[in-house]
Amino acid sequence: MANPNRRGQAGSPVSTGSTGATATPFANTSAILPYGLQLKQTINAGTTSVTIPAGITWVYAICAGGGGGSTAGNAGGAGAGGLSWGWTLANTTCVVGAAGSGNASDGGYTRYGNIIAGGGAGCAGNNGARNAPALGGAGSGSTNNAGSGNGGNGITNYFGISGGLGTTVLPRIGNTGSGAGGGGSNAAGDGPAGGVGISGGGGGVGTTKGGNGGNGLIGGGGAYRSSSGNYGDGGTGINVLTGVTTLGVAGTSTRAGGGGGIGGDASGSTGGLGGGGAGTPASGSSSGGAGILYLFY
Amino acid sequence: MSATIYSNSSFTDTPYGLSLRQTIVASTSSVVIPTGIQRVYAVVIGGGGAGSTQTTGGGGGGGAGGYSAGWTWITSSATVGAGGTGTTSSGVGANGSASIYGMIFAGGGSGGLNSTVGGAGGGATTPTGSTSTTSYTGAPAAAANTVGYAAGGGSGAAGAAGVSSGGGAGIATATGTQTGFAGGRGLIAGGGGGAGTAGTGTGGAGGTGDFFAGGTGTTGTGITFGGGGGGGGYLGVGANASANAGGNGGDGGGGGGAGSTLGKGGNGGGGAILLYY
Repeated sequence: MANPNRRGQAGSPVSTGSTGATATPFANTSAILPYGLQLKQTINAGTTSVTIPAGITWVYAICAGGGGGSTAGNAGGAGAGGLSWGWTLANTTCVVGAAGSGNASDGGYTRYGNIIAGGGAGCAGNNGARNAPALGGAGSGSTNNAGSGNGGNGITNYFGISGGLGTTVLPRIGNTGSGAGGGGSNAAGDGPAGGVGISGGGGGVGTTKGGNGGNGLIGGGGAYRSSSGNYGDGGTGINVLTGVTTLGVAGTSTRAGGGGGIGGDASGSTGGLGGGGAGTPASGSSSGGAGILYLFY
Repeated sequence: MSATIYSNSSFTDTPYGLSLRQTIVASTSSVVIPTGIQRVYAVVIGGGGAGSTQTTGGGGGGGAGGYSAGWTWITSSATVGAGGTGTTSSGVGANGSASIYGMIFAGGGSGGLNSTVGGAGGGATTPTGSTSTTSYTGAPAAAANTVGYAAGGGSGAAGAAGVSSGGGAGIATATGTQTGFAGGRGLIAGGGGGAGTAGTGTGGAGGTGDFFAGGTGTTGTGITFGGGGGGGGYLGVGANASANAGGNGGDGGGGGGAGSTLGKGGNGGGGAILLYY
């Protein structure tokens, strides 16, 4: 049946997903997109003002924080940016997070009204400390030279869904979470993958192959390898407007792939638009995907 | 079963299409809801924290009051939290108080610490110190200098940004040119940190809110300057500092600006409840 809920079906914990023999509440709707509303504005990083038409009091916002950045050499993949969504009162200002770019550079946060998502963790090369990402952001992969380190921890998100932890427990794959944990490192074999989640963790460093970024609504970046195999693949994301998978890029013998964002595919080691985590680049620095803000009303 | 859930507005969880009907700002108020309205969408804001002051140097700005929103059954009473009251005594600033309507509640912002550190923004409950509390949505607490729904206070830095931002840090050094840190940017903003110095001191600006600006800090030579500006609230601007006294936070939870050299810390802005139906 057609959903006659004209005021929109919010992605709210107390949902309209009530059971009923004659109703299919979630048919053709998503848990994130507000049924019946139209996407009116897509706002990119760096924009700080918003014009909402007169008469619009409430706006449904989807916020993605920027993906973390990475650096060449002994470096893991970066974590994906956080994602949050819900209703907020309309206003004229916004913050859309920039991508992290380079060594240990975290993505910026995105906020519209009371909807806020943090950035993903940037990866520090050469056994650098794992940054703590913000609000829903995913952790970066490990670069521990001894090959036994844990990836960075993901962070609990806007809705209180726990983040995934990085771990030293074999096979050191990052744990699942709203912001997933980064992959650990491996001194003899493939690098551990980043955790899967809403926001995927960055892959960890290995010898024969770099760890892959974790999949999610936003994908994490792939990691370096110290021997002769390929670097890690970027994790896949999902375009929340269409439901189509956004592609992480496959790793090559010279660089890892970035993770797909909620707004676009990755490109080389650069994360996709909408928070994709950066992969380890061939040289210099790589950037995550910039944050993005979608407004529906 | 043949219930049509979509014809019953009680099953609709979006506030889309609702209008603001009541704004409650008194400390405690009775509420009259028209007959036939069984639930309302409430925006609840706690009181802002007061700025602190120090015997030497500047105190920390107060954190912004918490922000919570959602559907609730109606009630005939509401509690609106007061902002923390600033003093001229060296020590912590007073926390803001919590606000509650039905099952929606928000904590006050933390007062500035008994140091230069700014207070955290309020979550669902009231923090004490530079680490915030979990928010009504479940978003996690944030440590000092950390972005969050309820953000951490500034420690040697501007207040962290968030929905409810943290207060800015003050400066302990009492010689030379010194500038306090600004309150964090947010939907509701924290107060600026203070700077008390024999040289040129400038108090930190109050944080910029989405709807209202923060106040400015004062600038001048000597310890009678350097108060921090009040943070922008949900319903009003933050006040400018005056001499070495911090500016009051804006109505609707703005954090108070810090005082310096025993200048009075700014009061936090009072909380508010906004009802939509």
